[in-house]
Amino acid sequence: MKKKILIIEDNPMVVKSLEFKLTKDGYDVVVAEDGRKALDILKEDKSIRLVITDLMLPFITGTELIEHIRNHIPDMPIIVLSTSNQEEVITDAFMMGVNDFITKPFSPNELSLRVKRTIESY
Amino acid sequence: MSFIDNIVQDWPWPLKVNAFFAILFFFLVAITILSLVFLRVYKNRRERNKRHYWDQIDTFLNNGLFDDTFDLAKETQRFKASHLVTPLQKKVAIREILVYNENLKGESSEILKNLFHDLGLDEFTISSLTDGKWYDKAKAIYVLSELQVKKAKTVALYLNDKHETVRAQAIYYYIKTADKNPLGFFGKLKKELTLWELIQLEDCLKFVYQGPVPDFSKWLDHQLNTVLVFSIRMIQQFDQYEHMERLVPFLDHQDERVRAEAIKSLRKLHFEGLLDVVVPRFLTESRLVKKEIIKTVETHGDLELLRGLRPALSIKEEWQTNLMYLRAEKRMQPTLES
Repeated sequence: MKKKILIIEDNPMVVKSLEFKLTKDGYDVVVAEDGRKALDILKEDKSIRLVITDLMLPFITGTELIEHIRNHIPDMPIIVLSTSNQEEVITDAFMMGVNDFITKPFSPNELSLRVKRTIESY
Repeated sequence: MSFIDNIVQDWPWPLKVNAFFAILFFFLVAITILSLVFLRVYKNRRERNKRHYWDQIDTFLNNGLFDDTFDLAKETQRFKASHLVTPLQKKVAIREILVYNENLKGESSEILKNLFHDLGLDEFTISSLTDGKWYDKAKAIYVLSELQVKKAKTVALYLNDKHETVRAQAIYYYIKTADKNPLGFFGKLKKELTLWELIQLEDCLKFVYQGPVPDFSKWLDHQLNTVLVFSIRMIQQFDQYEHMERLVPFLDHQDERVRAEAIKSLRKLHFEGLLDVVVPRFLTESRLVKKEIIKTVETHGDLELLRGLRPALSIKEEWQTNLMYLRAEKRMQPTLES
């Protein structure tokens, strides 16, 4: 059975690319354009194995979303995909318990390997 | 006589004028409404086409980037022949490639750059550079710089363009595409750089350019004063202490901006003996340079030396310099008391 990944991202280009690449890699991909939709999906779909999220999101920020996931689904692996490369932001994200942090622009091949590694380690 | 003439001929002239304007306004309103409807329909159609082209290029790019079974060379030629015919299709494709290039790096970024060339979009961009309006030119140079297309000779023509935005983009292009000599374009400059260009240049050099730090002293004999100001400032900002001595002659430069920048840079580089040179000429200096001298005395001198400048500040018009002096004096006071 294919492992399901939830992508939370509001940039259509990034969404399409990630969806395309991860589907090619053999994953099932679900997309949410904002934090609210992501929470709804997470509530309803218990088969999600990984969350890839941006930090700058409409309605609910990535940080709030990560906090929520950590409080309600502590075992869910999270990868942050963000344009921010500030040390403070990256440190804060890891302190909140994210498993990996990838900065944009990103290499799709690298992301693919990190996704594989994160999913396999859970 | 026509039917209308029969009706109108007995009308008094005010009624005729009234009728004429009523008909005129009716037509004007009708033309305006029709124009608005036409523009709306045209825009909707254009947007619909754009979305369609956007989907096409998006699918093509994703296949090209992530599908190993995709015959990229063959499909590129097919896509070029069937989906890149109109200027709108090409513009949409360029925009999408730019967006992808902005978000992806590594192998994908290289593939995108090759695709830009293989799809013939570089030729299209260069043609809009030569034939387009100033905003087309600026955009074309931006595209060439973002996708690292090496066309330095073509872009050089726009370094002295009459439009500021085009010039700024040409400068950006040189820095973005340079491997080791980002300021090589200084040799081609004929117009003074604007303040905005100076700021942008500094910013690009610090945050965009990836190669080794250039030797800024190479441009200390440039004919343009703004290039001198920039080079002097960069020598200080990049701590090129080895060129410090070469900045001293600029304390006597005829342009006050160059003199002020030389004082500022030498001060920040802690040049010994700067006070001995600048303090005696305080009285005769311009306002801009006086401010730098006050700052220099505050940084490297003492309160006594600062107070020695006061007699030269009695002129009423120099209220800003006076204010600066008083602030410096106030800041230096506690040091004396402690």
